[in-house]
Amino acid sequence: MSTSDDTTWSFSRTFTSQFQASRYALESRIAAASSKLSPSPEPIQELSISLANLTKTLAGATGSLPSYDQKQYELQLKELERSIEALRVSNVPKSKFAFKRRPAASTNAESPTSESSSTAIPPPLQTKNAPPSLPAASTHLSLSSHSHRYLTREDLPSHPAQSDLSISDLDHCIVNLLPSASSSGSGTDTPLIISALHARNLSDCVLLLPDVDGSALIHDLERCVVVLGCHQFRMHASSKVDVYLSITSNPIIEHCKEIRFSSYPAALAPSSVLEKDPASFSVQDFSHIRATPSPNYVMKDGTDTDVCEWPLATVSGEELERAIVRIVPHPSDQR
Amino acid sequence: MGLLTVIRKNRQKEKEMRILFLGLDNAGKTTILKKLNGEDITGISPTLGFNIKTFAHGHYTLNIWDVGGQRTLRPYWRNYFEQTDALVWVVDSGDRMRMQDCKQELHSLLTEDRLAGASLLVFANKQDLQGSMTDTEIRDALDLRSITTHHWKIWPCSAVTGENLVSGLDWVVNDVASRLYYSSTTSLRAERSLAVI
Ligand SMILES: Nc1nc2c(ncn2[C@@H]2O[C@H](COP(=O)(O)OP(=O)(O)O)[C@@H](O)[C@H]2O)c(=O)[nH]1
Ligand SMILES: [Mg+2]
Repeated sequence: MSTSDDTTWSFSRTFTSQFQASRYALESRIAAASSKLSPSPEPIQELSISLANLTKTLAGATGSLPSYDQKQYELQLKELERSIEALRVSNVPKSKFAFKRRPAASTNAESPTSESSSTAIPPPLQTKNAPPSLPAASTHLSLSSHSHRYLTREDLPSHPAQSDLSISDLDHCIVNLLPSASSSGSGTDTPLIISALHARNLSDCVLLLPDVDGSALIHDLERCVVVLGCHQFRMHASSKVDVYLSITSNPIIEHCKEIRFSSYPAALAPSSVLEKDPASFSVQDFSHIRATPSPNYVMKDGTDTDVCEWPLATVSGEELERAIVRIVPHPSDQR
Repeated sequence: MGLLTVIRKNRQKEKEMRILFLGLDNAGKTTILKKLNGEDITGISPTLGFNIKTFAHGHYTLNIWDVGGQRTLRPYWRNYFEQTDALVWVVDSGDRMRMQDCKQELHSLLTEDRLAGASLLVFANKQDLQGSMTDTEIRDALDLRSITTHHWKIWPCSAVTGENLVSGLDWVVNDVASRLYYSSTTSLRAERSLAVI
């Protein structure tokens, strides 16, 4: 339920002209302020307040404006915000202005008076109003600290059919959690459903994963291959990683280098992946937020680059070594 | 500003609060807001920039700001501090590997002048996940009990099931209301209203 159900708001057009007028006014005030060498803190504060008001105004009109327009206005405000921030930054020494809207409960914060500490949580509220307890989950499924191993579901501690999973600190490993991989072992296993994935600190590894029913969060991978389906994909601080992805939103990378994206290989695809529309995602590089293409990743089109032989069977020793070297990006690869 | 007056007239009877949603990326901030607003929560892409949601909660109008949590975006958080009545810090309870990072970001936020006095609600989100940490575990991992500068509360919830979202918001709205609009919290308890959607 939105407060904007005031049906009288057919004022999209009025809004636009007035909004733009206010925006221009603010813009010129910012320009005026930045032309002075060292603007005093008060005007900057006033600009911030005007911007906050304008933003509030826009927020108030949410739902009454065409969403495209709304978006544009938000972008314009962001632009203004950046200019004000630039002003603030250029205005060293920093203003000590603290917003004086309310008698801050924190003015006495530094001194641990009985008053400030007792207000941290009003005890009656705490007990009376305690959140209804949700089932306390204590177990957590993880695959961690291995090197030179071929790892399958059997290497996981006992777990329910559905769980979130974290994979960390692996070196020279192949992790195969595809449904087919478990049938070799205990026969009638129900396929593992992963509800969220965290991966951290892997080098020279191959991850063959099914369709994760949630998000994937990945940190610190080097020379790896990741095959996975998920709702959201975020990768941080990684380099030389080939990602084979089936996804319904836009994958993002940050502080990454030499990443190659392809779609989930048909040869490995579980039915849940095949049912989805053929992946056409566009990667967002949060380390490169500008119009030029990011130098940190490339999109590969499936055909010429598909790995023809996925290491689906358990191998060890030199064979494992060879299987890994064959498909992970090489340290000296030039791209 | 003529426009503001028009809008103000529309909301004279309503009281506004500005609530800032922050937390590491992937915590579920955007999902929580969409769920609260009755929107579809599938296919949400990571937030590049910010979203604003406005909705009524009881007889308060909440302006909620959801700002992207990626590391490169975190320096921009402070652009949103002005006039913040409450901070909702969202935690991915399954993200054991980043609890330390999460703790540091939160504690450094709390030293900000411009957030002084804001109420703090910590949403221990994703409680539906099998391996998630409990609210007690998270309270300790984030060292919440050392916080004396802000009213705070930790609240287990799930954006996917919707569990506890409204009641959490309810706490924070009441806490702000008791500070801004009432001299005592008691008068408000009776009129707590949970009707968001
Ligand atoms: N299982 C589960 N997944 C969640 C929950 N809340 C969010 N998610 C998932 O976590 C990922 C990140 O959510 P998003 O709202 O984009 O996080 P933000 O970066 O904090 O805005 C998405 O894939 C969501 O579907 C929850 O309560 N339970
Ligand atoms: Mg988001």
